[in-house]
Amino acid sequence: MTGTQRLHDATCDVWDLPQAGAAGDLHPATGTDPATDRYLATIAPAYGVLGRVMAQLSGIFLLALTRDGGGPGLHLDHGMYTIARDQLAEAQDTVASVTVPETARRHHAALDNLAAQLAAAARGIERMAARMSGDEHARRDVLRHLAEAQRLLIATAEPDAGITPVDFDNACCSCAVRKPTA
Amino acid sequence: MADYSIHVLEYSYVPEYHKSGVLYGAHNEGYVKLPYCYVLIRSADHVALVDVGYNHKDYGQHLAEKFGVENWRSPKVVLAEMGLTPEDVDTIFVTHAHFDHFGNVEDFPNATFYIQREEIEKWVWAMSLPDRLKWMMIAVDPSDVLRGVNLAAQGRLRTVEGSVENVLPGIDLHLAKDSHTFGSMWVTVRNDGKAQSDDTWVLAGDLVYQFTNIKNDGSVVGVDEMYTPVGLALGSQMNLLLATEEMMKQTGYDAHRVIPIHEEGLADTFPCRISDEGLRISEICLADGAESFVK
Ligand SMILES: [Zn+2]
Repeated sequence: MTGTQRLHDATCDVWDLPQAGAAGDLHPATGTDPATDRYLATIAPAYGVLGRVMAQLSGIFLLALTRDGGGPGLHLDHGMYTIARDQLAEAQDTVASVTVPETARRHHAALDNLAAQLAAAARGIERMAARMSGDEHARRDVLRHLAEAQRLLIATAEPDAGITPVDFDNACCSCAVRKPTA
Repeated sequence: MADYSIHVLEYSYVPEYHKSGVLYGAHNEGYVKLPYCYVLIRSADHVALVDVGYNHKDYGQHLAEKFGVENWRSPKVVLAEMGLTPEDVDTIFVTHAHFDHFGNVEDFPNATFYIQREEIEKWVWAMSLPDRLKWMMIAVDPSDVLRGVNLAAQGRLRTVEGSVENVLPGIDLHLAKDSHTFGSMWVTVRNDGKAQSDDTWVLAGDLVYQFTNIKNDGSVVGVDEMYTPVGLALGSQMNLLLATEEMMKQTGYDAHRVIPIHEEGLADTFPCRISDEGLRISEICLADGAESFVK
């Protein structure tokens, strides 16, 4: 990556997304275009929320699947689930209302899809908890939506704009390292 | 009688790490080498690991460039030195959910994983907090939780609540609540299999980074030696110290039986060798009849 590029190289396979037919590059490109910068600045907090909602839904699903006692259906912690649902709705509002420059059309479509995948995963968890479905198929469906969300989360990362799934600056075993000077 | 062989296997390292990250309060005291390791616990019946390292596929290059993490080797390469493959590993104890301990689960297709339920529950809670409280989410990769749910769906993840004895024969798990992380765990091996063991080893995870956390200069408070916590406490330093006391108590206060995994000085205490890949293998103990891997 060069200093002015915001995104992975255009040839990087991280961008090989199913919606490749859509117009425009997935990456909003440079840091010299004010409209793109405004878009990235607006979307950054929503991206962070979407990543955390993905982790919340994954964690809630994990806890429900591993709960002692088992039995039919999914033993959901509804308090945790409601918070994740509400935060997802807020992030979806932000994604829906942001002004999208031409440079960011594919990026925005991918983010929109990411939010939709999370919403679908949430609905699946809810249905399992309500015992409307609890079979292997329903479980796989939730996992599929979460996995797709994760792929999109990584694909839409823009590290130079502070849009990353992990904050490595504070990692327990990699913080406080003398940074290479070269 | 010893049931298990225990080896600390280095899989990567950081050549220069701020000492203050390792030892609370050691500001402006320079740098130390920080090895990255996991621990192999092996008997005639089981091959177990404590932690799995980070997901190099996703983050290796980034870590290498940003933090100078060097010489990462895959579990396949690291375990080959021990005559094992990742497929041989049947049990994995994840001490906490930081990405450099819980990130590489996909490399172990046949293992059942154990993690404290508290760790996952509180991370989910932390993930729901606003950005101004984001410090609580440091070093957690949302994707790791997703990898965890995949394990759970396959029936390969067990969430543990507090202390559990004999998860494998003679191996206990212990919770250090609100310490380095919300639900950090240490692993105790009673190698003679006795309830009141005379041959106990403690695998400390990140509750202790180096021996200095157990035996630090105590002149500041007028004693020869004192425990001093690691540089990162998401819970409290008090809880880190109390966990250290409990770990030490389990070993009969034999400090060299509490095994830190970021400790270059294991080489001074235990037999070891450097592999062809330039990574250290430290032999903590051998099961009865087992051959040494460091000769
Ligand atoms: Zn840690």
